Amino acid sequence: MATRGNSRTRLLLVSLLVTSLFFITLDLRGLSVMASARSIAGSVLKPFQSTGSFIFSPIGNFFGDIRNIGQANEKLAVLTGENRDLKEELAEFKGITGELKQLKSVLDLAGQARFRVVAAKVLAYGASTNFDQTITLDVGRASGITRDMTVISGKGLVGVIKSTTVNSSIVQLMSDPGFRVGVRIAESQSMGILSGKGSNYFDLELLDARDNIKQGDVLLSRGSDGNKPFVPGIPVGIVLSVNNSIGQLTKSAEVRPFTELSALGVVAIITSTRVNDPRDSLIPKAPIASPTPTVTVFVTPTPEQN
Amino acid sequence: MSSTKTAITISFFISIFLLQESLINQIDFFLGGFSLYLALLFSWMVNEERSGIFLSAFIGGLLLDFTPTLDTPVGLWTFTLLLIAYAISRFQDELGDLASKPITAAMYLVAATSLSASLYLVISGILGNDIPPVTIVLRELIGNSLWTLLFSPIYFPLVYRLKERLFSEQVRL
Repeated sequence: MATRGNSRTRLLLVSLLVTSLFFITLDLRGLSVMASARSIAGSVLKPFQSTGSFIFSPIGNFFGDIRNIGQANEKLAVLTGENRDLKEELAEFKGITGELKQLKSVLDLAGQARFRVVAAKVLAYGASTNFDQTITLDVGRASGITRDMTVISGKGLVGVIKSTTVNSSIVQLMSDPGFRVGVRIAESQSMGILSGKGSNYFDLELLDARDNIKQGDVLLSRGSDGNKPFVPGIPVGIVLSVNNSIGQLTKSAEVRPFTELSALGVVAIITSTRVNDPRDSLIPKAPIASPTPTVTVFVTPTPEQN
Repeated sequence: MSSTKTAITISFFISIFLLQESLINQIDFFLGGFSLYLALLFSWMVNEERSGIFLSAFIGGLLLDFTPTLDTPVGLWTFTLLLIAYAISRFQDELGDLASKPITAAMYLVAATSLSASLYLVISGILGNDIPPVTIVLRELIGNSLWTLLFSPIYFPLVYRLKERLFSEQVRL
């Protein structure tokens, strides 16, 4: 009985093997029924796969995410680093753009006045040895910079070279309380002395008691002997208010400088001039006011209703 | 194998095939994929009589051959699984009752799935199909073995009990 059962099982196995080999042969011979069977199976499976994908894909992704968590952390670290670098580059780029703008304006001013200048980058603000208001520049004696040279920005006077080393120099800013510069009023040619107050406002005292001064007057630097420490004709500031105190012998005024002394990036040191005095040619042009549109409204009274 | 048993076997395999194709294949398993279908197929074969093992292999292989993504000839999986089924039938007595030997059961499942996958690949190569690089094959085999081993304490007792419950009436008769 067992032998009979075994032979039947063997026969079953052989027939099943032959059937499978028959299927393989048919498929290899390119019978379209086989390909169609798979195609039909694919069509039947598709709705199940779509449903499974809809339900299960978040879980499937979760497993994948766990597997890739190390890589994700590494990628995040790399991207964070790249982001930091890009932010630094952007900040640097913005700084460079600002410096270029300042450089262009200072060279424009120097070119207009036909000054020969050495451009310099502001390295540091503040006092190096005491409480004076100074800036440190990246040029020094090696670039031909000497003491008492005039320092300008694109808008006007900045200060005077106070001391130099081979590759750097210290500028006394015009806001320094010890700073004094001889100025003239552009229109009236009245002369006065401008003094630093340690802030962004200055005191002006006219030399002649008969001279007049008014709000909005533009002040230009008067020259010194050999253009040191001041080159003539450099815009200094604009009169904000006039003090008309009875007790004062001469008139005085409060002045705002043209140069924003707290935002200096690039300046220029005047090494020589080709023109003795550029006179009033360097006065900054007033901004052109854009016309304000006006709206006219006509109102017609409505008759009263009884 | 009776017609009822064959119908139950076909239904079970179709269900597992759908589960594999619609859900398990969605999971991005570590190393390689996990063939729940093969693992359950070999779990189903345990404690079957020889003809039952062959018929299960034939039905299971034929279903697997209709996987739409396969580019091997239809019948290849059937042929491969029949060869493995023959090997299982030869060692059935040595394996004994796997329900009481979980480690042996796990080893049996790992060996059966790995061997069937390897044999399928070899025959596929003989028939002229492209064989993937060795590293990929090894990774897939190791991955599949790992998951088969890890999940075997869950699915093997389940299949065993399900089968016992389904066929208890027949056993009594």
